[in-house]
Amino acid sequence: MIKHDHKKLLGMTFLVVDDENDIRDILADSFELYGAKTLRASNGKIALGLLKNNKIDLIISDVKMPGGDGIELLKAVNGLKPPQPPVLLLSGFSDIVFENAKKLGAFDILEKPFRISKIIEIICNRLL
Amino acid sequence: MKKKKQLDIYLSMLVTTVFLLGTVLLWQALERNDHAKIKLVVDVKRNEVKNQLENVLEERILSFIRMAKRWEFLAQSKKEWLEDAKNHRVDMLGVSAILWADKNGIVQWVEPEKEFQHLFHYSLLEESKRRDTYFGVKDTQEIKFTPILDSLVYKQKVFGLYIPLFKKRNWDGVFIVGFKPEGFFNKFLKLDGYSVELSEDGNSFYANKEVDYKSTSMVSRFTSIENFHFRGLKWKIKIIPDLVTVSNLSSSLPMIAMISGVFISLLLGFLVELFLQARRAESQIIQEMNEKKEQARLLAEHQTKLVAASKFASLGEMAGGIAHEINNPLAIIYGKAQQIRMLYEFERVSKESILRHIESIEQTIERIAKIISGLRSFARDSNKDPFLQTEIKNVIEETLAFCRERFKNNSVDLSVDFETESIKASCRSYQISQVILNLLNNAFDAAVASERKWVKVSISEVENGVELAIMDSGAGVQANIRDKVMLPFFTTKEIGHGSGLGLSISQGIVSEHRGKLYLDDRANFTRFVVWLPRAQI
Repeated sequence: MIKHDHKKLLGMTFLVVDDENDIRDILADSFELYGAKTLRASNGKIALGLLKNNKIDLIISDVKMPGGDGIELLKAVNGLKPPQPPVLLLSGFSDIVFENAKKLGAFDILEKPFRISKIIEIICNRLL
Repeated sequence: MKKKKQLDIYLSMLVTTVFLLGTVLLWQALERNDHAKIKLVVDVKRNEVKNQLENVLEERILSFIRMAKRWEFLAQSKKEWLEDAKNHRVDMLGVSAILWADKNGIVQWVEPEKEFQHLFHYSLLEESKRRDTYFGVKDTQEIKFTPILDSLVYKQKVFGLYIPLFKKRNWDGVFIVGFKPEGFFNKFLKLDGYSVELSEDGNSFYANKEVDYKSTSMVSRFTSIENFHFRGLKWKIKIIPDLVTVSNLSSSLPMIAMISGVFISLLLGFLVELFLQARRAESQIIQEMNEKKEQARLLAEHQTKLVAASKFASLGEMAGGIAHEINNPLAIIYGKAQQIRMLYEFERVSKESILRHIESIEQTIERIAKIISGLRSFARDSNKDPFLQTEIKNVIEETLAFCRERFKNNSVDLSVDFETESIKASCRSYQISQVILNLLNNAFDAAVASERKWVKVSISEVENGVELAIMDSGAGVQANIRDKVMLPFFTTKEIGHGSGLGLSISQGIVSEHRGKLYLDDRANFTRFVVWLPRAQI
């Protein structure tokens, strides 16, 4: 049982970016279970498009994707004004070194396969 | 080898020398034989000359004996006698004069009278040799020759024949026949081609010609000499053949033998050297062949090791991609499991949702299974697998299973074009998979360095087989290395990144399938084509 105050997620809007449909849906469906709204994108470019027209509280993105990867997305988001949503990166097989991701402004970087409860915990405890 | 060559040269020189020596010995034997033959001919000639000499003198003697008989029985007048003597003298060339000396040794008659008139009343007793001969004839009543004398008329040597005369059994002096040796022997002896010298008691009195001293040494070895007694005289005949005679008598055999012997010796030496050279070359070739065999064996050994190494190298190259490939499905399975758990926690479980998640898990597990299956082609020796009718599309998909992620991660667009649904060919699927992976790896390396980054895989049915093509957006294969790309150990990749064996191994595999692997010259991009026959015979 999740031990943190997941009610914080209620009303939040998360943008989940992954080219792998199943992974994207697992994450988005789980966030929705906790009461968050989700937007889903299969690559960085689509994500950036969604960002323009929606108020987004957090971006959770895969690193390697065809047609606009996570690093490009991170750089683009950090370049946005006014204040941009934090980006949580999900890395596959040593795609990116933790320090590099931090330097580029990632909120955190998590490795696949991931524990959903841990992601929720990180979001609740450290972000919200 | 150098030492052997030296020995061989000595051997051929030895052969030449031995044969030359043999030639010289043969030549000498033939020469000796030839000389003996010439000597024999000269000896025969000498004998012939001697017989001629004796015969002609005996004939003269008989003739003068008859004259003496006429003197004894016909009581010739001086006139008659002079007539008789003249006839004899004219008949006999070389007879200079005929004289009658009476019982006291005083010359009474002479023919020819005019030339010799100062001999009238010459006493034979005045001079020792004539006197001795005269008394010798008188005592023995036999015909005798004088030794060689100085002529009383000419300034030359002469000799005389004294014939005893009798009248009514009483001593009546002698007939003297004077011989000029030169004229006499020139007339009667046939001496062409020979130098003949006659001497009496060591004094030479006749030589038919001057001996040619220039050729003396050449001909003197054939000199033939005989001492003989004739009517109480010690005569010696010495005969030497002329150079022309010798050369006429000489056989050309020794010279022919000599020339051909020398020629044969040199030829033989040359042939021996040729033969030995050929043998040297042969042994060198054999040695080189053995060396090459050994090199080929070592090369094959190294190649086997390298093939194995290259297999692992491409496996290593793939390892990152495989990890990627498996990581995502793992994340899905893990995620699905957690989702199911959450559905229970939130009490939102429904039959449909659970089934949907389980289905997803199953599909993902199948995805991993495919990757593992693709890996098997590297993990096992498929050389002895049977050729089976295989759906080529499946082989390609299995192979793509563990490189799709790698292409994706490097933004290389990978498209697959299957012309028809089902294309089958007889093959060892694991080996073909290895070929495809190799070509995909190469295509990936080329494409990733290019601007547009794409790789296209296509399969199409062609006559009697299947054509599988892999094309990339890379810079293309330069014309000058097109012929070399299939060679073992040829690589354009950096050191440590390519073994240079991928294409050659692939070609080996395709050849075993009786297929063809080639670089398509007509394509604008790098396009490798694998053609496989539909059925193996």
